[in-house]
Amino acid sequence: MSNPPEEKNRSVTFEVESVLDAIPKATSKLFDFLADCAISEEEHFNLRLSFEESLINAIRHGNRLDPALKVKVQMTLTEARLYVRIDDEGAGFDYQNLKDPTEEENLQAYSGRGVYLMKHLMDEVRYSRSGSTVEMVKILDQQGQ
Amino acid sequence: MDVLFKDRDGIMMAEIQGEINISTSPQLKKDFEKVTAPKVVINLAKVGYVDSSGLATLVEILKRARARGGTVCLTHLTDKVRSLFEITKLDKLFNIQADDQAALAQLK
Repeated sequence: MSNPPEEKNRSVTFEVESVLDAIPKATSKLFDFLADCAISEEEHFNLRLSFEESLINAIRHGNRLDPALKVKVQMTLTEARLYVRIDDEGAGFDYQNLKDPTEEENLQAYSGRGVYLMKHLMDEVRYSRSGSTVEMVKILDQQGQ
Repeated sequence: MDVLFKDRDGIMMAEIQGEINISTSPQLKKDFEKVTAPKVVINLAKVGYVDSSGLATLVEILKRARARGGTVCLTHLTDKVRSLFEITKLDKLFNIQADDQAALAQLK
């Protein structure tokens, strides 16, 4: 995972409660942060989906909906890239052995598509801290700018 | 999220309005638990956003229809929603048609 260059960065950090109802407000903060960027409708959709999937994982699977635990969101914007880091306080998960949801035998499975979608819709996705941290990068098209 | 159900010669036509996400999926699942018709057409023209729990719920609705000896046809997918079905290869699992008329022609 490439780190954000130090110059011309803009960053924001905030905490999210471990309740699913907190997700829309967190998503609003993401797009407030990107308000000056001319992101396309497709980028908006992809960013929203990847951000919300990662938050859902952190809140539900990481912190197990424990209101005493928080999810930390860090976002950094450079001229052309958005870096998002999400940390939960849970025990993590085995991110190295996820089943491929597109395999024939997994197509009808209930779960397993969230991380798969994130990896397709973002330019980089990396887990660390036993799966309690996810870092994602999106290269922004900056259309019209 | 709302669902409008209409029976058309024994085929259940369902039109979903709104997002199918982690918040609305439980209600969607509940709404479809009342459906007993084996053949179902789900119009997604007014669904602009689906997350992984929404996809999972649609798979559950399909599995229930198949358990009744039927199937589910999806229609009017927006480009972005269709792309999610393609990425996850759920387009291989579902019968996806351009519109309700094409779906009815398939199911009759």
